[in-house]
Amino acid sequence: MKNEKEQIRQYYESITVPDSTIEKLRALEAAETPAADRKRRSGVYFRFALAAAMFAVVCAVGIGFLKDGYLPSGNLVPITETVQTATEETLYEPSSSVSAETGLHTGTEPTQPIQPTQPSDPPEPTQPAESAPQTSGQQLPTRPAETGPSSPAVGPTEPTEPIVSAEPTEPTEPAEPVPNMPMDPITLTEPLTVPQPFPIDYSYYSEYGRSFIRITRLTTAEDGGEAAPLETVTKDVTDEIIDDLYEGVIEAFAYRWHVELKLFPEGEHQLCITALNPKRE
Amino acid sequence: MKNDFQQVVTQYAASLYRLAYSYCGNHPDTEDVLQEVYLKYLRCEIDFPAEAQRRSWLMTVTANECRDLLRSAWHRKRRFIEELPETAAPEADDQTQIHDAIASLPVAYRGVVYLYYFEDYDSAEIAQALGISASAVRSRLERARKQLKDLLGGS
Repeated sequence: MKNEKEQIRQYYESITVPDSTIEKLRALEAAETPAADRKRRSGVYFRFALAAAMFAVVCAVGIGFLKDGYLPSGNLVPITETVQTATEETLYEPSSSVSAETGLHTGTEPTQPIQPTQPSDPPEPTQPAESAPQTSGQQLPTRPAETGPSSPAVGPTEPTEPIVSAEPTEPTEPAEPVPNMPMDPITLTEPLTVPQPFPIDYSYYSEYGRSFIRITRLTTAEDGGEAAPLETVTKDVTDEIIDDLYEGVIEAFAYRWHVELKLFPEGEHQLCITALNPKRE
Repeated sequence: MKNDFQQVVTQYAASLYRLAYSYCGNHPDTEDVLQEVYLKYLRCEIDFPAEAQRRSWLMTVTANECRDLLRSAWHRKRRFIEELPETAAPEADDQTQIHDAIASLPVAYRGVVYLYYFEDYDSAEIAQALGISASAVRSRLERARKQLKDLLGGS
């Protein structure tokens, strides 16, 4: 065994460290300087800061979408853009689909309220898509909290003239939001069939005589031409019967009608519903 | 940062290299192990009060690094080209036989053999350096000695 021990010892003695290895080991000190250590640590800090920044951006974008009322499902449909303040003369754009004089639709696009007078009020209404029944789903309008007791009603039974001359008598409070009803977009594949008579009791709404509801039946390309209003009925209503109006509006949606509900309690507010899902009841 | 790094390299490089080589059995792995050991020495915050403690710390770190390397999946799956049958050296001298005998020992025995036969450590010192008990050192040393005797007995 002594011979074996000596052999093993000689074997280990024969193992020598290459000079290149020694040089590499000596060079480690130069490479592992405090600056290199700080650089290595700063790299860790940088990666941590980058990850935090990316997380903050994602959170900011998400919060922004939620605050702006955009649905996170990808439809990007504004939720709160159903109430808008508008002046008498800026309810409709000249290029809008509704004539300023007659209130009828003149184009393929639904009515577009414009130029809010109070930027701090609820946002502008959504501009619907090309055809009312084919537009993306939107939300039901929010309900105004309170309205003035009196407001000049214009033409409760006049079907073609919009009520835009009503002057505000006293300021109104901002609209109180009501539960939203999400609507899914639909596509019309067959001509519209309008039941007769209209599914809304106009005489019931006319007794309030302040605001109006206008229900317009639209045609589509399937009807034999461009989408255009066939008939428009305007009735005065007040926001006290908004809940009843909801039912009527939804009923109208069930018959695939393009519905605009405009409230002018002080001549400034406009509640607009366009292109809702007609299948939802 | 260690101010005496160059001195430590000069003083312990050979011993650590041999210890690592007894584990790894080849120079590239041994060199990698030594670099890792000295990097850890540079970054460690330990202030060794005595030279024996520094030496023991270096030996322990070297043995641990060797075991980590041999346990790594990369090491288990790769083979050196010299190990292939077509490129193996045809003749084998005494050194080669001893090398093969030590390389055939279990990994747990290699460090014990080196520290005992070359560094003249006793069982307590080996136990401290390798982080095992003294009885384990003695049993491993006995088994390694028997296996080496069987392998080198005919030469």
